[in-house]
Amino acid sequence: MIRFAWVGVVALSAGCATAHKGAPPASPAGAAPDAPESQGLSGDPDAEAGSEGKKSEQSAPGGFAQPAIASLDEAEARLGEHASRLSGALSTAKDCEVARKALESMKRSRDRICDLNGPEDPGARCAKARARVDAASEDLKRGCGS
Amino acid sequence: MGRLACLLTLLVALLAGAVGGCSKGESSAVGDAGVPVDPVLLAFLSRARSAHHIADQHEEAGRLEQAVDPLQRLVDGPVPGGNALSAPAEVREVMADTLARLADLKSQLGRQDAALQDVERGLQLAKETTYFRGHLFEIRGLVEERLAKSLEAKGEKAAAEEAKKRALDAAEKSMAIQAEVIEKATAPGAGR
Repeated sequence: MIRFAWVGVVALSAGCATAHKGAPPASPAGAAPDAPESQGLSGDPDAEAGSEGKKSEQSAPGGFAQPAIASLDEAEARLGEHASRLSGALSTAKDCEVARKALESMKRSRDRICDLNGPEDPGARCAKARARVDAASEDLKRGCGS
Repeated sequence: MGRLACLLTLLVALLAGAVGGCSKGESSAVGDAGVPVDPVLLAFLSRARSAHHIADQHEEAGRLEQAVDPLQRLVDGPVPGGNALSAPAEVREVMADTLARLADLKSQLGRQDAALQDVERGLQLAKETTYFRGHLFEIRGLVEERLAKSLEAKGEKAAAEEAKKRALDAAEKSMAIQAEVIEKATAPGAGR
């Protein structure tokens, strides 16, 4: 039953299996290898041994090897955590992309203001625009690292 | 590559609502990750992408009039939900961005009145403080600047001064909006 549930979770994140392929080793040679997840769930290594391809996939150098999952609830909770982290990362990336575009827009407007207001800069509109771009650049550096 | 496959798979799961358990009701046009999953919406976005791609090719070749066509058809064509004003945010943003581009193209063609009308139409769709609203004000500034220069070339100095003043005001308004957009996007906890 648990095994079938795990298959469901794996099917949901089908691409994750390939993440194990070619990943850098997580543990030094000689260290106890991480148990393949399916073994941890089924408790029946022989059943898993029948699928040589799957076994080699999971016992390949596993930079992303996970500790065994004891139950479907735990598997779901772990998947939920990963999904939440991914969602947060995507949201951050989107925010920073928007912020960068907004800064480019500000720079174009600053150039327009400085050009239109002339070298004497009445009302210091150009100077204020420059200061505004500098402040926004600092915000972007602080929030997005660039 | 493998990690990428994993990320994409999880992303697809998120979009489909498989992880978040979102409903399949009509109201769920946007998935948990804020990305559209409605096929009608996807079709519109695909159409928009094609229109901009065609416009890119014409614009790169200097054929500005032809670049206008696909974009004009997009903004005058059907939108998901039938009414752009009440369409999902993604649709309004695409429309606003397209109208900004149209305004710039028409302005380069010397059609300043039509350009300013496109900006106004875009602002009706982008009422929140977003990059798109700021960009529309930026384009308004650009159009007014071109108008000022053309009026000055015709010797209409007073009208040119008025257009120049409007250009400055629009550019400053744009900067204020974009500064707020950046502040919100980079505030601690925003999207984090």
